Amino acid sequence: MSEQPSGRTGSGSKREFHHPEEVLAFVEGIRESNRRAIGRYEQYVEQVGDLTGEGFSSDGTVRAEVDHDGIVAALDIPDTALRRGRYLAEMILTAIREAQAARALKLAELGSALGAGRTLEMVREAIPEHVRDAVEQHRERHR
Amino acid sequence: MDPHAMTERTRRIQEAITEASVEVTSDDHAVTVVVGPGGAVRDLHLSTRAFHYGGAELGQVVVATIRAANTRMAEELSAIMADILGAGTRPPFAPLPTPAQLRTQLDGGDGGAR
Repeated sequence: MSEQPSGRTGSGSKREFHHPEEVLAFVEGIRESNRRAIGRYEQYVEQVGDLTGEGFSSDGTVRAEVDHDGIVAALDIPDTALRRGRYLAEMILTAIREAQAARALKLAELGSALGAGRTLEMVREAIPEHVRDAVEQHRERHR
Repeated sequence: MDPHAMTERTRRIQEAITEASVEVTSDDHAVTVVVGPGGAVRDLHLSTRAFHYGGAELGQVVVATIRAANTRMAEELSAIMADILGAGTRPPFAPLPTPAQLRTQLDGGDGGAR
């Protein structure tokens, strides 16, 4: 029993072929679509490679920076912040968490541009609202 | 692999990642940090010695202590994973292929066009 060759288009609908050239053109179309996806992935890899995050304590005096792996790379503590005594540890933690949240959000936004489904929504949900608000306020200020 | 064994292995990995925690104190006992996987800093304690430093120096001590804790965390997680997955097993967090590797597979292979 012979059957017409067929393929699925990007929208999932079934397509039937009548000539070998149509099959070849269909396969080449898939390859071209994969090439474009690799191009978008390449751009993502380049952007992610340099992706760092910056965050601040609630009073803006302590600044933290995380590297492309999300690990704390720098902490700027002004001498005046030392006067905050036992509150200083919490100020440092706030700055670090905000820097990591800022990087995670940027990473998820890049992933969304690549077509990574609900990633951005899930990352936003995982970050406490007050940290997310602080990240967005700092972004607004630097726009 | 038996599906039950796979579910149990996944559960143990999730549990290990959720519970993993490393505490490190700087040599001078000024800074103590508790870190989790993925660079998470769970807690930070500054002793009275921390306040003998200037701000810039204290920042460096905190960063160095966090990085030392992260290194130990990575070692411990790696040991836990080897224990769960068995020695010599490829780690579950293997790096993603590079765009160049993907291009080679797409253009260098048969592209699946059979």
